[in-house]
Amino acid sequence: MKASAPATRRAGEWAAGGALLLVLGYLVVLPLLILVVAAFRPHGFPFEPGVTFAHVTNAFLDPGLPRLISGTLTFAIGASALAVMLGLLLAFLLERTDMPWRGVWRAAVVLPMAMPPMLLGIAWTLLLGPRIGVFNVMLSEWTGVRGPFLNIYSLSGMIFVEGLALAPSAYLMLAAPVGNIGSAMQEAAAMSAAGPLRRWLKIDLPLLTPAIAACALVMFVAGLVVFDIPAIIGVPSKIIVLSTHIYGLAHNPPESLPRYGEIGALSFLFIGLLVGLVALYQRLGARAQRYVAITGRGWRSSPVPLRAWKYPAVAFVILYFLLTVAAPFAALLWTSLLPYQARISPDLIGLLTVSNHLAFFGNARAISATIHSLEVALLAASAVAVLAFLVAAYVNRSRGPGRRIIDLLAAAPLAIPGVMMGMALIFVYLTFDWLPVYGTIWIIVLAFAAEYLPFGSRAMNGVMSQLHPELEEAARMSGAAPSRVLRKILLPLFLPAAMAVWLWVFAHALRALSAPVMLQGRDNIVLSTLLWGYWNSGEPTIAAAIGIWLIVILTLATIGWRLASRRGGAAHV
Amino acid sequence: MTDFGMTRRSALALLSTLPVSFIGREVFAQAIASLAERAASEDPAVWYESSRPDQGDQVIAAFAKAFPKAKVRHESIPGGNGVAARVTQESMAGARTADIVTVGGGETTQLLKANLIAPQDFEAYGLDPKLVFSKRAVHTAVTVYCIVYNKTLVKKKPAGWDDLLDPQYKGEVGTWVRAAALAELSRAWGEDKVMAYYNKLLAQEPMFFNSAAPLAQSVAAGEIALGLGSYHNSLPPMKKGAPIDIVPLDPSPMSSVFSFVASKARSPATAALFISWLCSPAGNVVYEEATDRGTPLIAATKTAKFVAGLPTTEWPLDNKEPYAAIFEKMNRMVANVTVK
Repeated sequence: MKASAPATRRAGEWAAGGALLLVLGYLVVLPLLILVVAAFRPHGFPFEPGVTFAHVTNAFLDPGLPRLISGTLTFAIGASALAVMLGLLLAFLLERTDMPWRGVWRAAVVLPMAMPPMLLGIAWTLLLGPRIGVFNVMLSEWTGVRGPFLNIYSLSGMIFVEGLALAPSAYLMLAAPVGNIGSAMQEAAAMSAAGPLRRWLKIDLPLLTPAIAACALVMFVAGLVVFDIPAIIGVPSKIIVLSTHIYGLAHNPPESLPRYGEIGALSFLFIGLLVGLVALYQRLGARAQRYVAITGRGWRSSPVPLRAWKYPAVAFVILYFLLTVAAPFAALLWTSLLPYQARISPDLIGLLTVSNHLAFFGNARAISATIHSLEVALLAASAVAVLAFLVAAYVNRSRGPGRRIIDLLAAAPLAIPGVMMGMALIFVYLTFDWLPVYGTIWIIVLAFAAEYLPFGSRAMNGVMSQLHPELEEAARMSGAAPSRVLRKILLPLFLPAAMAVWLWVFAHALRALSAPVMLQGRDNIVLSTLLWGYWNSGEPTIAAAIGIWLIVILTLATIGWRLASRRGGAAHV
Repeated sequence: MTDFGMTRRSALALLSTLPVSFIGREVFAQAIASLAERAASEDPAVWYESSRPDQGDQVIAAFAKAFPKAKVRHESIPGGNGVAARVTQESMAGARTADIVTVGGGETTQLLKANLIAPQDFEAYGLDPKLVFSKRAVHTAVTVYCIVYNKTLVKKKPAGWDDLLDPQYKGEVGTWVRAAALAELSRAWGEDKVMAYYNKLLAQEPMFFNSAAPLAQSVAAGEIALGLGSYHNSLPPMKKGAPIDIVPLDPSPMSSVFSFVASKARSPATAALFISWLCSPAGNVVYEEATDRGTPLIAATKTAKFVAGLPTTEWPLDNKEPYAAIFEKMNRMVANVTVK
């Protein structure tokens, strides 16, 4: 019996690999195939007859394409760099130092995720709009000089707001790896008279390289496909990036039918880019063994004392909170209390009304949309957390077949803009009608499971690469059964990361727009599509009121999650 | 009172404003009553349209009062081309699709070409023949393009097209990123004049908007002083007291919206009944109350009053190709705008 154990384990790995390939194939390959086929159909509809290469040539021979790509890259690089810097600094302060009120700040720094990016964009146009922006108006009044001093409708404005929007995600991705760094090496270096900067560069940074690379990769690709903020801030000043170009092809085509063929062709660009990035990521992953932080030998982590630096640290976190939550929330609240969109001014206080908020509670559609949103977010977050853990465990801890393919497939949906994923899923579930999800909330859950799996699996990979397998090996050598290893070793170590992934997906699923808007039917309206409907039909104040209640829901969810994670003994995030 | 009696009374009420004889009304009423009887035995008809769900509900509630046995479900799908794409996708896959579709002229043309619109003798149900296109599509509403301006920022009320080019408003003008208004205007002005105008408008460094609704809100907020907006999108902030007003243009470009029965409809009688009601004076007024847009071809609508006496311009449904060609050229011009 003992001799057959490796064979049994091998068979188990083959079965697990096969099951994962099947699930990922269904979630990812099928929609991708639909996109590829769409690129070669006369009108971009996969089931229509005929073949054409016109969409591919139109998309790639467009003289504006180089400018479009360079603008998109500048935006994505800028926003992801800002987000990673902010996320890393926050993770360090909140997970590795003795900064006061860390529990409060941990809850506070993820709150911006509750704000739909569309509303964040609107809020910042009220704060930094050239003519009505409250900062510009104040500066003009103080200096007597007619502004604008700061113009949000610019590439730097887009980068600033998108960087702020992505920062909580970067923090969540980096919090667990930063928190997992043992302090023994730091202390040894300190005893060797190494300064803080040198210790950071020589110890922490190399240890964090895989996690930072994973985070940067995810933020960069998120910046490539993000739509809301480029649409709100970029379009008015004609700063077009790939996502708004795709939106234009879908919504403003001269022929009145979306140019799905051209959009399908453009997805080749994303897929090509993604293959390159994943190859880079896997290369980094292969070197990750050099950066293992938690081994079986006396790992411990004690907080870094900030001493006099604690005041600037607290000031930084407060500033971050002001920029990402307080100021936009105040602008949003102001908008939600007005009958129509207007600048922030004491002159308009007489107009304030709670009618938009009362309308939210009196609207049966809003209540059902709230329930749908919570159901979708809950299901999608749970599905992604479980699937991401299984993918990361299989890729990092098994010797089963197809590990690279599974890793690639788990990352591939990053390359599919939400609007395209929506279109592809419509075709998939119209064709495979044995699974009656079309027009229900389940089709949105499936869209989110695919869309957010890359974020989950990258985050899990980042943590997994920091954990040396010798912990599990030692447990197995001591006779622990695989289930006991999973329960006593892997789960406690992975729980913080899994919960972070869960929260991240939950928050993003609550506010995501592009896939639900494509999949919207009468019975699956969610808060984001309701909000979009109000915004699009000229009711931004009602949209703002919905946004306020979205934030309230997420705040409650975050508090509940914090309490649950304390009881569960989760150490981080 | 029998059900049929109620249906007939609803039908007569529906037709009461028609300029036809009593006998004519009786004939139409019988046709509608018969349609309503058939509709009563059908599944609920699905209506694809781009208004918000609550606006759709308002319309459906009024229809249900008139015809309680005929059931219609409103499905809100963003954008007319989103609606057309959904109908095309579902039809190609052989899945259940809309019974009733309401979209713009361009989308209607595309769906006509794809044979996705069912022929229907709407005139037999008392609809004004001038509303009906080729026994298939019925005129339901229009987007009328106009100037929307902030009364605080613009001291002298704009008079027309030239005000959008006034140098004093450079950087303070807004326009819909979709150049539909100017593409429609090209029918009256010709391509060269419209292109020259658009070049001058782009030189004004306008702010672009994804729809005319946020454009009107930005004018209300004072971020821009004035813009090329639309009548129905400017009304919501105006009704709520925003310091904005609208100025009709000469000529006024318009984009029509049509309703029709989808060729794959599973509840065709309900669909035909609903469209007959929606495009009747009674139904269209309800639709306009809910969405702020109605058809100027029905005198009872506010849109008709706004458009009355205005020289309007629009490419007709059977000749949308020039519109699409000019639209494409304008898209390219916008794409080449250099960002400072």
